[in-house]
Amino acid sequence: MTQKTRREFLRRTATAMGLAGLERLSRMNALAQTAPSYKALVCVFMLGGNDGFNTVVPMDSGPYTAYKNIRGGLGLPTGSATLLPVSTSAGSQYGLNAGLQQVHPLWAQKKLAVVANMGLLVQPVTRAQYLANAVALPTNLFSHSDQTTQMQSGVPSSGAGTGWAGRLADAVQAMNGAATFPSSVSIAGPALFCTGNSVQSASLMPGFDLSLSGMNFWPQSAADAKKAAFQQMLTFSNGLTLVQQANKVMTDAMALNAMLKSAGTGGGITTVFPGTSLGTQLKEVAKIIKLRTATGIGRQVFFCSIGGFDTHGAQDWTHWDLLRNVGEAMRAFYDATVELGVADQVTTFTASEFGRTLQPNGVGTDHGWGSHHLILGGAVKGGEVYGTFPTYALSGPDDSGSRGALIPTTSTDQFGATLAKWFGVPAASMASVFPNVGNFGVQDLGFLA
Amino acid sequence: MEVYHKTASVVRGTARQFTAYVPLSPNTIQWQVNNVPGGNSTVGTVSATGLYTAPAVVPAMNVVTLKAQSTAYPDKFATAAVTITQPVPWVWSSYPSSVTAGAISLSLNGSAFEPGAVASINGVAMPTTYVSSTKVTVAGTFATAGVFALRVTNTGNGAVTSQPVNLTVVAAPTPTPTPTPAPTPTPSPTPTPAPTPTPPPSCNPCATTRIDAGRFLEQAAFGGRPADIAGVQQSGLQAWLNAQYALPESPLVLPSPDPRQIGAMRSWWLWLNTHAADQLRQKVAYALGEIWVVSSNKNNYPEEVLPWMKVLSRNAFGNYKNIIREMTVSPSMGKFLDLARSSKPGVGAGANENYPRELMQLFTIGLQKLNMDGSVVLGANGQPVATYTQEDVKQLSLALTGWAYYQNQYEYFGADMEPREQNHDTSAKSFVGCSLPAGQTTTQDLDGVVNCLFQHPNLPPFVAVRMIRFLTVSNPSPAYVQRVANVFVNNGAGVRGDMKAVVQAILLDTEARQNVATATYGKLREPLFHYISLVRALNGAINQNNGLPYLFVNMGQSILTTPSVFSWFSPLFRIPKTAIFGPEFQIYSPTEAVLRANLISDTLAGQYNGYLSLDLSPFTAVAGDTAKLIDAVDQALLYGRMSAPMRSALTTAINASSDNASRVQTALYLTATSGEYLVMH
Repeated sequence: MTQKTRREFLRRTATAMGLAGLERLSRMNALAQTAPSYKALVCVFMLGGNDGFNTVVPMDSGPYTAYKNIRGGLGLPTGSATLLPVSTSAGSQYGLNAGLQQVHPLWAQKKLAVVANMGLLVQPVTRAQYLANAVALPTNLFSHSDQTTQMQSGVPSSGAGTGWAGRLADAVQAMNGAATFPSSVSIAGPALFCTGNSVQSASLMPGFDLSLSGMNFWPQSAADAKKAAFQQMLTFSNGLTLVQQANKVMTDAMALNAMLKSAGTGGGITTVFPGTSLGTQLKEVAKIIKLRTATGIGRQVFFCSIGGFDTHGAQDWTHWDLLRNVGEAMRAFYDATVELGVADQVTTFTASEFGRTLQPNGVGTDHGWGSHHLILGGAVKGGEVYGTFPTYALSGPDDSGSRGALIPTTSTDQFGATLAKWFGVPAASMASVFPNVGNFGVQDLGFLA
Repeated sequence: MEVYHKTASVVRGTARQFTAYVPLSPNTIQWQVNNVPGGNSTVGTVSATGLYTAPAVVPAMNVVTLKAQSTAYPDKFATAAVTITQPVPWVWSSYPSSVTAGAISLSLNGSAFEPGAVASINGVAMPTTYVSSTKVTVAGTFATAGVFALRVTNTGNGAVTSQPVNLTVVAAPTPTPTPTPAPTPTPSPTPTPAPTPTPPPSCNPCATTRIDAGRFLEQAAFGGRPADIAGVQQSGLQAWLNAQYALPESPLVLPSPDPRQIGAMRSWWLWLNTHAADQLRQKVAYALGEIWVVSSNKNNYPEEVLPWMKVLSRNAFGNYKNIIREMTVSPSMGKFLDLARSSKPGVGAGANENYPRELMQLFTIGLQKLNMDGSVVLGANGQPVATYTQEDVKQLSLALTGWAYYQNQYEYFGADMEPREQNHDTSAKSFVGCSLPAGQTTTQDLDGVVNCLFQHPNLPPFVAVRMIRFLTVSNPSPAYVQRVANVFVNNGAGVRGDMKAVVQAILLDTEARQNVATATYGKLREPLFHYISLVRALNGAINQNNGLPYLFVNMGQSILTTPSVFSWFSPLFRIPKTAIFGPEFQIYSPTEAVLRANLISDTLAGQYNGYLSLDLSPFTAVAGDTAKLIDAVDQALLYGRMSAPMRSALTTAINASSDNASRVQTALYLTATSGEYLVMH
């Protein structure tokens, strides 16, 4: 972000001004748009820094040779046991890590695409500028805690109290009408990613339907009376606004509980999900999406996460397994959206705090910067690699140093703005969601229809 | 190569897993204890996979070396220093917890006491009798009044001392001079009267009402225990404050036995704030810590947050200027916001702007110019006026270059950061209206920065608004903010930034003491405060070693672990779609609300009895009488202000059960989760 825009951004977000502005904006949106159909964005955050370079591998002979020469023993050999072949409309050949076997067929169906070498940037940076420290850069590159915070806040400094999904939800509030169902939902515990200026981050935990404890004891009539009193008390007003608000939150919770319970333990989804953490999280998302008509909500953002991607060691056998987890869960989720008839209305994408070094450390890879990511959904113009594929060369034009921590050729802002445009965020509000997006020429990477 | 953990303590007879980082190929290693492959029964054994089992008896040399040696390259190895200790004793409570100076006798409850265990008060060993692994008794003399740390040590080789509990020693009554100095007959050796249990303070007339005392302790402390409320009623607010100012600071310590366990520190934090005698100091430090944020999401180990906690605690009644200065050179903050090793351009990574920016934005002056009443200054165009520009951040960053960890270590948290003049930018700087001349030292520039921000006109309303929101109400009137800001400017003796005066002005203001609420009055209890204040209201005790902290993670208030420098919630957060401030509502969404209600339900049902205890006897004593039970709960939690509809709803619910335990749980649960209780008002 330029210094000026950061200031403006913070001024807008850190104060009440943002609220009044959003309210006005919401009314304008309401006028400008007809009743919106449902759309959802689902983030699969790979904690630890996924090695995108072994997730998607260039297979045209020159780039593959460069990849294999740098990666050495950690480089994936050709052959479908390790690399599943895909090609773009222009005829470029790539290989997906064999761990992604379950989503591999979706490439040919044009539901799955890749964004190349994406990462946090303040503005476009060349190697020369980076080495000369000539332009603004994200603070504390290569640090997990800082980059995780920044990737979720969408602000490449430590300074932001909101996340880009939360601000997305802020920007489309009008499309949610009077619905009180949470619009920015983390399934992986409280997440900065989901916190908006006026939209709260809501967590929903897989398998927890918001039922109250302590409402089953003998005699059941006494327990029922206890619960009845609890619910009755939520309607009392002692004239204090804050008390009413606290009661409203719990009233919403009770309504949510009724909806989640009505969906049953399986949520009425027949698609079989893997029993992994990510599978369980994405199944919860599918269950909530199924409630969209009951909740009356028009736009939702979801956050899921899976850990273990900090592959400094033992990468050769762990990374495949991590990606298998991701691929199986994402495939089941895609199938569930087909089952629910919303495949075109739900877009899933991967994110991670950073990529990894091209050059291995012997048994793994170290903290990098730009990385390749996956986008999946019926609205995705699949079967393509978007953005600029970087040059794999140590100390080459895209290297920030000498080990292949590649300078992103696409910024998180551009990636997010493409998702946001599809989601319904008006161009005029884009800078309130992605404060630096104006620093980049292209704001729509074109991967969504 | 490296062995994790590099240093560790292992209790005799127990095992601990170690791991080796072996960036070699092949990466096969052999584990040794004191150079003996696999170890032996004297020094402990280690398995092929690094599971170390300490010997049953602590050896004479109780620090052993655990070594992982490459089998392919025998000259490559890494070691860990392992201290073998006695079992770790825990003291849960002392009975009584308050004694009169002189001959004292105590009964200490806890766990893992060993024969030969010795109790100490303020480091002074006391005659101790071992009764069982969960009980020791003390009988001896302790003559000094005050609040002291009471600990138990399992003695012998590898001795281990428990975390402290507080023991209050009250001065013995001084003999009143008798009017007639006539010699009295030699007193017969009558036995000294046994100290009677302190009766609950009774007063008529009282200095203040129960409502006022109860509300006051929610603001000035982590809520009141029944005896605290009675005490404040009797003494009045000012006397309570004066007593609090005089109390010694609770010791802030690293976890034992393993000082690297941040989880143990989180448990201890809950215990500290529930039990500390210096409640006001702890509450103010907690509030200050929501402004000056350090989080264990980056500062992973207890030693990395402890210096930050100490700055907050020791300056709770000190001067804000000292907080600015001490926090700037604190190694905790140096790590969290990267001021450590920030250097002049051309050295290392150059001047780091992270801390300087947040220092202005979040810790001192904020983004927009403020009036003394906290309202935003509007410029000629009707827009807010920025307090600083990016150029100010840049200049301030240059002024703060040159700070490095003690003795320029990679990281070090045992001392403040130190100036390294060769890394300090000595050019002239100018920021937010202040100028520093060229050629100044690192420390001179620091003084200039501290003075500049401390004298900035935004600082008084900036601090006033935040401390009011964290202590008393979410929506203070402009006049309330201005009164507090004025005290920040001048404490009455010409001193600026006196936090003792500021805190007192916040707590004793008519708006804080207004016992009848208006529409936007009050403040939502956040998860940690909600829980601790409920435990205290029910005269409960939380163990130092407890498994409670994880329960707060999903409620958005992970202890010592905010998601970012913006803390758990923003003091500027407004209730969605309104203009009303409600910072704590930022982490009160449906799931968090139900999790909180369920935590209270499960706690009242005894599910966490291994971690804490509550005294429900005042309620069980009247459980059979619905009206009396509701009165008791109303008095304990709402100070007698329960609304008529709520009382009616409770009556129906309680009457549906004939089981006294259920009746008590129902009454307490419905009250503790009610909007009337959730919003302290």
